[in-house]
Amino acid sequence: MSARSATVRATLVREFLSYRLNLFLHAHAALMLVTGLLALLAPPVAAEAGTSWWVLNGVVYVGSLSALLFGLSSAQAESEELTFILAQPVEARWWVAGKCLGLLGAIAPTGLLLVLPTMVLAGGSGMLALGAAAAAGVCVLFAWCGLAIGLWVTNPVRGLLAALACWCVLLFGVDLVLMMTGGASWVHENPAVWVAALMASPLDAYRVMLLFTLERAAFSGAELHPLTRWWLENPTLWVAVCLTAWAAVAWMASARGASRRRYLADT
Amino acid sequence: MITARGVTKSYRERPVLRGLEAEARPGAVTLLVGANGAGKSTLLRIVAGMSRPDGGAVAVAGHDVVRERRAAAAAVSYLPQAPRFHPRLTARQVACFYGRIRGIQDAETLNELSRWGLDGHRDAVTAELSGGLRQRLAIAIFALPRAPVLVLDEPGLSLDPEWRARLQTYLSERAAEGATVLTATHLLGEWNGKADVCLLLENGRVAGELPPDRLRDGFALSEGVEAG
Repeated sequence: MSARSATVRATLVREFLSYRLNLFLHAHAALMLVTGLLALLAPPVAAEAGTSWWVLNGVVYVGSLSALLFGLSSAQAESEELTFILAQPVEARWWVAGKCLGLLGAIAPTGLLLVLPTMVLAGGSGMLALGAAAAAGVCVLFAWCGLAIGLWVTNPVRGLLAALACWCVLLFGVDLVLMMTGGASWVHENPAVWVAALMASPLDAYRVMLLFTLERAAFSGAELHPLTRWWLENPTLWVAVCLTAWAAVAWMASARGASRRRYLADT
Repeated sequence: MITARGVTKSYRERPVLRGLEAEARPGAVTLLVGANGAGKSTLLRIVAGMSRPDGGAVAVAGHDVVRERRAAAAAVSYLPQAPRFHPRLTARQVACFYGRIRGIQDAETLNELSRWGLDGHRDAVTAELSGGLRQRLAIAIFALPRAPVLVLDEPGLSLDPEWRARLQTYLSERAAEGATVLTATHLLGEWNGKADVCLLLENGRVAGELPPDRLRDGFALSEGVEAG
């Protein structure tokens, strides 16, 4: 086994072992299950759309935050040992890869909890499974963002504040700025920039995907910008691209943050 | 073999190492002694690849610690001061992690834990271990790879006298096998006659060597260092 794969594998095993006692993961899973159970309140005739509404709000307002805090806790639990770990002949990026895979393995199955009660009691559909997969993707991304923040910000209180700030920006900060600038003349002259900024937000990409697939919201495409039209016609593809791009950035940021910790005493 | 040539290092304009020249050779236990702030830990961190020198060069087993960091790191086992571990993992889980990243079988790792008296504490989470037990866990992990270069920063501070003596014996045995051992210590009395070379650091430079069998006498000349 190569040194890289040994590092990834050993780190992955270590991650899973540490999750047994991680209350953030337990809380995240419980919140996902509660959201899934609340979806049963939707009338049976509208089970799919009703579930999607609960899934959307559960992920956007609860799951994203609990996953972010879980990722942060995963980084902070290592903070005192990181010097010792990085003194081994390991590359920070492969150690981070092991941690990311651990978070993926722990968080992704919780996406199923969002739709499982509906699937069991009201019958499943491919669209619901797609919604659960996208929800899992969003939660994994936020966990990875939490990991990156935890590896960059060494002080635990500052790390928590930074994570909350990151969540607020992604939840409504981007939308707020876009709303405030929506009436500006340069936005009307360059609508693609405005739409691209909205598309770049993972939560907005996820919202649009659920609205135009599971909830099947209608839209009039007569006066839409071509970029907007493409987005609304391919919301699932865009969510996949957007989450993948963000995940790559989060992984690189985590690896950079961990490498930086090697020389923390120098700063 | 560890060689340091003209090493300089400053923290925020405050010089800690000032053109330090030193050498630790294979087959010998080399002590680093000096007052607080003399630069011992900084030098050890540079040797272990955990800090970058501002100037000069440090080589470990023939590999430059900056330009060939990975090769140098593979040759070194480093024990930092008072290491701490993931609070939710047991001693066994932590040790096996370090073994696996070095390609060492779990059975071998467990043997190392036994050697350092951790049989009864394998399944305790590290947050519940005393300072001495944590240090023994760190030493077990440090000893696992049987690296040719051993670098230790105040390894005996949390250990009781019996385990300090065992650690000294272990380091002497490894040196006899050809390993290079470089350790910083304040416990000079306990090392009297047991080290091969003792480098005295003052103001970021090697001020001289103390006679290994009369460390306390030589040490008395150095201001502000406690003899153990």
